Amino acid sequence: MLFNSTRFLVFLAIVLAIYYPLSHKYQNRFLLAASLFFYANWNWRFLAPLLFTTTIDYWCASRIEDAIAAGHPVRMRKPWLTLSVVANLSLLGFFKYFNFFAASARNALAMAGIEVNPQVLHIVLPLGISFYTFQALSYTIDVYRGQLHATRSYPDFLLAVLYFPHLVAGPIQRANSLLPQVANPRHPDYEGIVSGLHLIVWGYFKKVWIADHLAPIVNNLFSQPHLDGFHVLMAAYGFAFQIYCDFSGYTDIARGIANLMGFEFMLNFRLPYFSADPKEFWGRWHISLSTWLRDYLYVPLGGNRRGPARTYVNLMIVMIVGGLWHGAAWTFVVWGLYHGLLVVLFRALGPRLENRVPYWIRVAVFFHLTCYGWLIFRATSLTQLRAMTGALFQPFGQIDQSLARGLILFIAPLIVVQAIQWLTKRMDFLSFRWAGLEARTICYAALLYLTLFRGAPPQSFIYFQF
Amino acid sequence: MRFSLAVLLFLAVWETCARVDDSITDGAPLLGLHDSSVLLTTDEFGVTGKPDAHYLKWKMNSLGFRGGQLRWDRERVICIGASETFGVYEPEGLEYPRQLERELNSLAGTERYQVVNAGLPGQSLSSFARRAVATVGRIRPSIAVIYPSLAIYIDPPEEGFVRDPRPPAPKLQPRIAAKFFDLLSASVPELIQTGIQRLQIKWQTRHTIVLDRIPESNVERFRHDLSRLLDILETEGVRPLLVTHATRFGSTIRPEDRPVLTAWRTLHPGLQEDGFLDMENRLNGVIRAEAARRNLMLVDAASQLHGPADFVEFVHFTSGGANKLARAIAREILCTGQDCQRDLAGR
Repeated sequence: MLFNSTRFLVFLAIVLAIYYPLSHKYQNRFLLAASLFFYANWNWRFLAPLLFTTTIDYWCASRIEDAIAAGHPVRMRKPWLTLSVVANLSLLGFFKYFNFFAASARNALAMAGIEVNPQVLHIVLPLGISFYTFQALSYTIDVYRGQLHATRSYPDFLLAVLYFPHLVAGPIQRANSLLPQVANPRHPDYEGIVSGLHLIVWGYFKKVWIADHLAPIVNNLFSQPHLDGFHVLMAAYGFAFQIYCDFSGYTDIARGIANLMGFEFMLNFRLPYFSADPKEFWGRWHISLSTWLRDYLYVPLGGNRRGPARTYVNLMIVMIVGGLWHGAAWTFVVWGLYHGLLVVLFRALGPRLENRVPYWIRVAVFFHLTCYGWLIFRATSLTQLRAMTGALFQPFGQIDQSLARGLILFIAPLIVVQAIQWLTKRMDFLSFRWAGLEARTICYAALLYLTLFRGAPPQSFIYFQF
Repeated sequence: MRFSLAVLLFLAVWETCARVDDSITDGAPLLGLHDSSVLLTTDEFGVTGKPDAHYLKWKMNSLGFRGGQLRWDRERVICIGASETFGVYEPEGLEYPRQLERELNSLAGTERYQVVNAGLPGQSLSSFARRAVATVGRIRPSIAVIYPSLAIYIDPPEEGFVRDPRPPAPKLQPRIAAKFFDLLSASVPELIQTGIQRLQIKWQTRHTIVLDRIPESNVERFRHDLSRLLDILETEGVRPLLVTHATRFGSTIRPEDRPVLTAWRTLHPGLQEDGFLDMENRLNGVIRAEAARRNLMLVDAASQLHGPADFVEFVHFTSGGANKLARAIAREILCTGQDCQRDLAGR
């Protein structure tokens, strides 16, 4: 069930209608059933791996908690953490990376003159596996570190992982934030419901009107065998905004639905294209993933505590893992490598740049560096990436005005609104609370008109494939 | 009170957006009428196409027919019928008369023919017969393809009924209502739509008698109207080509087509669903009999076209279905005319 489908809207309406009158205990059970139904609607067979890893994580966390409570040394709780990590990453590795590594190994051996023919499996990637795996891992790791008490309620834990708004594409909610909300009674109030509806409207607008209209333009550009520099630039801009509106739109919808039920999800995007450097960017883009990588990979690797050289190595590892998390392809690895190099470069040059280059120039430059990164991300192969990169350094051909106009039509409103948010430093600008009821009515009516009646044909969410 | 005003304001904004949207995308007037009725006007004979009108993909020429301007250097074929002939769902240029023109010229190997689309939504044989002499006089076709819409004979208007010749007063209709209805239709599952339609039919027929089949008098009425039109055309020197009426259902109704039949019945609730196929069979029998009696060209579309590949819904063609019909008519015209091309059998 895509969020932007009629079936989902009907499902949501039924869920809300039943949810509100229930008591807390039954609300949780009902939401769990609804979430299982939601996931099974895609493919019921993949409930098994989802429930398997979630159960392992719950059990392991309970054993860890018992070991801590009994005062056992760290080495006695480590096996449970290891079991949880191995179970989760094995499943993720099998479903997501088996064929990639098998093919890569075959190609590498072939270059050395050794011909092998590894088994290629036709594997279907379970929906949301990258998201729920990381979410569940953060739980057991936090319990292991003593930062969180393990929950004694299996249904509560199951709900925290499976809760349908964030199950398939995040945000990657931390257990210390979500579990208390599951365990304690929730009282959706008027403000929460209004806030939720507002997020849902904006989320659908970004997805249906901006992202889904950009999708065929971008897909068409990337399907061309040869592009000149102008078209490569348009492809980069187009995809930059398509992926932003697609993913942030999904997140807004997920957060909005959660708000309607009294849950609070973390902010996942905060004007990322107004970043002047990689550190700022990764603090604004897919915040739940970047903070996860910081807390569970970068810090355990040593972070910045072991000298500059080791810091750079750690940053590169984190960014490459982040790239690989997105998909099993060399373009994602290169994308991670690219952003890793940017992080290292700006870390080394940062203070000098800040003093000499105006902020708005740094924002414009970094935006274009990010757009080039999106070319890497979206390219269908390294060959295409090479060709596109080469085209950027050739003289541009004729300017395709209709293409430029098409992109501007969909991107310009977003840029204007976000520029106002950035200048006024008011993330709540889009809630229109500063305007009277009549002005808000006009704005929402126009947004809803564009979304309902001028939305593009439904496209799948980009991050569903991760 | 304030909330009520906000709701009204919301609807007003939506209506404004709809009008601005139509103006930008279709060139529609901001305040005037913008629906398919802009394609029509009335003259002394009744409803006819409005010259140079356009609405969405439909464009009328200077004589009020859908399609290009008349070419006097070509032999003209006129297509007479209702919305099936006019073209509803096919992309521009793929309605069957336009495809017939391309097919005829392709088979003839030269740009010899022009096909004039004289179809209009809701046009009956008798309403066209009233203007047949005038139309034939203007266009001077050599052949008239008649593809009658049969459903009008479920409840035909009284003999001699003539619509008020004054143009209908434009209605101020909220455009957002049509858009909202289209959105709902596209969103609501077919099962629910069919259920709603059945309730609608039940409500409409709560005080009326529902027929199992159309009365024989209606069949006779059709025979009379068809015969009259054929007399006029033959008197004017036009060779008629009759086409039996085809539907999605073919000769039997498959279970998966039942919802479509229910949708059709919402337009004619006074007839039971199984009565529709009976009507098609009986009236097509009249067409075949008339063709045999007068020794006319005949295309039996009813036996050649059926199913979702040829029809979008109950009677209106897909572009594939329109193509099939056009090819069948072109073959009939060129194989029975003086320029018979025997190698058509291989195509």
